[in-house]
Amino acid sequence: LVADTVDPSMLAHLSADTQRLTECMRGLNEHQNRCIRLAFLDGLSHEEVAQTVSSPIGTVKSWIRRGLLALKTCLTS
Amino acid sequence: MNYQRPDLIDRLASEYVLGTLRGPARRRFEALIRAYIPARRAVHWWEQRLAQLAIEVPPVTPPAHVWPRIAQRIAPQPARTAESRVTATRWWQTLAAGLAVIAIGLASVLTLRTPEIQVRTVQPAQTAIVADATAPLWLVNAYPETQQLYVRAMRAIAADPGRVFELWMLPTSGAAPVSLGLLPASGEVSLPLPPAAAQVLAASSTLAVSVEPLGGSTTGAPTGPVVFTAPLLQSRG
Repeated sequence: LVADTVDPSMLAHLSADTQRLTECMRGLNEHQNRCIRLAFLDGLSHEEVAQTVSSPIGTVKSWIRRGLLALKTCLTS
Repeated sequence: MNYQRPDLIDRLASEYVLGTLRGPARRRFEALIRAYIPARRAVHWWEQRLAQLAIEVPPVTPPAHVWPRIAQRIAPQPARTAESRVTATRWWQTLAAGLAVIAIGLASVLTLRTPEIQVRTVQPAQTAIVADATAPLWLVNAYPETQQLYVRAMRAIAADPGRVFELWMLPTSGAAPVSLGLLPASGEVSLPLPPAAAQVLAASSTLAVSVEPLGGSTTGAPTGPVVFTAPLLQSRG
């Protein structure tokens, strides 16, 4: 599941909040976006995300941390 | 760890909601959520935002047997009679009808489970459940006949040091909030409900909880921030 699977014509029907989050998720880099989705939607731990994306756990932790920070900045701007 | 730092609280809250905060760190943060309002607010903020991600997940209709089993677990029926099937149906509708009606459902579950309430045959005139983003915090039941307001702490929660939680009723007329008393950090208390207060309560549809200095507000009005509100059900009406 990636943000781009949301049909743009559907966006108009979604709430402003959802639309905002979708836009901010698109602003993340590909790694941050994927890791945050795997953790939240699939319930994976740092270790499991690292295995799934075949990257070191330290890198995954950093992607998630920076991704969340960027989300916060985007959502509150 | 210095939990006073807002940026740290926010980072922990985001990873808590995301689900990647695990083990002892998660348990420590859960304790902080119960005790520290800024942590609770940060968790609520992230829950509201990240929940929107789930909208991309296609809905799945659960198999028909799922609901009867849940109903059986949360409110066991002695036998599978026609009546119990009707009850299960009504539970569905109750859930779908929203938080206000769930409050009645929870109250009835508690009534079934709690011996000291079970002997009380009189239905409360008003009921409310004060909850935060994750769970019920207090159950409030009003018995005007005996001039009592029973408040049960469903999850131990304390205000910041030197502060207490005070319960208020908000009259639908728009008149000023009226205090109902101080909320217990744990256990159950019986607060006095004089006839005048009972009348205001009967004409209210919302309860609110504010943070006050020890002993409660001395001005007759909330002086601290209102941290929770809850719909008040006129349960005999």
